[in-house]
Amino acid sequence: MTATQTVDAPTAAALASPVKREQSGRLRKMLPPLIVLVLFLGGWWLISATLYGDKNYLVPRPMQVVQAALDNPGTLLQGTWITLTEAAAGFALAIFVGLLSAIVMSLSKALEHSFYPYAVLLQTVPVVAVAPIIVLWFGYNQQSVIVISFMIAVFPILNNSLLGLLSTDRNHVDLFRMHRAKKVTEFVKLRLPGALPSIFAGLRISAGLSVIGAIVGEFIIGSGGEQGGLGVKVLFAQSRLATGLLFAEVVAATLLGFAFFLIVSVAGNQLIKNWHESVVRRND
Amino acid sequence: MNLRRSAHIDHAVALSPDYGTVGVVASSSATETSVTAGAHIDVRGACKTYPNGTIALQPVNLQISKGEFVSLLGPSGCGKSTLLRVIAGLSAPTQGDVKIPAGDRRAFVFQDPTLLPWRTVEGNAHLVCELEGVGKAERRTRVAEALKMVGLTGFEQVYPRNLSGGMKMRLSLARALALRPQLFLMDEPFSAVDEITREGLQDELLRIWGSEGFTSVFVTHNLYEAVYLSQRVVVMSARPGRIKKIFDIPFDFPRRPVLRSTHEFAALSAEISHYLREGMDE
Repeated sequence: MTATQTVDAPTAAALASPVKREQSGRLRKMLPPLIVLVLFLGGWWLISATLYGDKNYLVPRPMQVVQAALDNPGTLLQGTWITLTEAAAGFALAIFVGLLSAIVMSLSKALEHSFYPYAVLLQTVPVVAVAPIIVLWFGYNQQSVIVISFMIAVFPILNNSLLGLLSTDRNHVDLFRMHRAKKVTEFVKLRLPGALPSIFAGLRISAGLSVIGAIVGEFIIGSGGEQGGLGVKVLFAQSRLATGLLFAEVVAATLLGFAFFLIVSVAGNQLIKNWHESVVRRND
Repeated sequence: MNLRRSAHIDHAVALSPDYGTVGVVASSSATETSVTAGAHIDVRGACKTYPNGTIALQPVNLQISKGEFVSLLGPSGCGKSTLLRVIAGLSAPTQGDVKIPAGDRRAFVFQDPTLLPWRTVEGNAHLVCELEGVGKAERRTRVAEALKMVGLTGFEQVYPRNLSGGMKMRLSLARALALRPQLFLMDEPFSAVDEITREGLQDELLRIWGSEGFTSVFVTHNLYEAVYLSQRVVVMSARPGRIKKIFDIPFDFPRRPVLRSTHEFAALSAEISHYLREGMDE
């Protein structure tokens, strides 16, 4: 066998190792959003100090919010922890149900046609309106909050996963069928890995939504007082005109949602970093 | 190689577009009967009609000898891909049948490289053997060999997105070759690569065919590609898809690129071209 002549072959080593991004490049990327943050805080301070100088209970200054957070670390941490557990449970449930439904629907057109419209209805039904029923069923407790979080988070996972699982390349399917691959093999080696980018696109949307769902659930349950999550504590702070603490709690809830999003993003990107265009580092 | 080239010549070409459809279904129960002597692939009255009534392929008879290189040539819609898919077992003929010795391994190369983007070059090369249940140790040997055949040794850990079009197609060939197929079926595999790369790939394919000895069925709409590669060119015509004429290509192997600029090559190409045009005007 003579050696093959490769006219279009760059060296393998050059292709195998992607160029690592330099440290200075990372810094340069972080600078613009940091500038925006500083400008935002400055504007906020200006408005609260000038327009609402005598009504700080309406618009507290940034430092007052920080002070409120430092004065009530227990309240903030406890509220964040409770909301986190509820959102995590709702999100986990949404992943389980959403992914499973998507897989089942992807395997059978009949099932897809039968159930997908109701999945859409689940998304369009105003959760706030059905929440009283959920509370009737599950009681004024964390279970109701988890169910509401689940209801808000499940659809994007279901929808995106289904889309991904149904987008398998026709030729790939032919290749697998031609070589007598079992349905399970086809699913594990072809459909599922190919759907991962879509699945994680859905998970990223739902990660933030699950926290929002938990807060909405806590609002509806309302009570719980000192023992409730951030949603409960926000209502409580409002009733006492403790706006500094209220702002701090809103910031905590926002950061919690962001953390969810970040964890899911990092996990997803790790899984597809080697091959998917959305993640792969460019060499230019 | 020269032995193989002469082997097919005395083999009769069955070509009867008017093949009756009555009783063809019954013949499919006779799959157990031995195939025509010398024929590796025996297509008997195979036709394909889609549920919407479109006739993709009129009843076709075609015998291909063991180790032969045959091209299916024709304009789009002539049923050449349909015929290949029927031979591959990817599509069941509406009537008639295709006889291939039981246990013979069939490999298929698509027009697109159809690589799995989440697998490395090596992982992709493993795929077909993996699906066919070839053991891991055996697979490693075969994949290394196949990658060497197509000149991709050293690229094992690279992902497909970092390969050029030509390299992707070579990987697609390697994936099929690793199976060590007796039947190598290709559906316009080089139509998406540039002219220079294509000619390189054609020579590589002929070299590998010469050493491996598999039977090749190669679908193309490129007349010169068909003539350069094949021992026989099956010209098909469209609406409805059928075999129009089969040409023997008498040039010796191994073929060299210089063949393309010979008078004989041009003359034969012109003759086939004439039939191709006639097929399109109808």
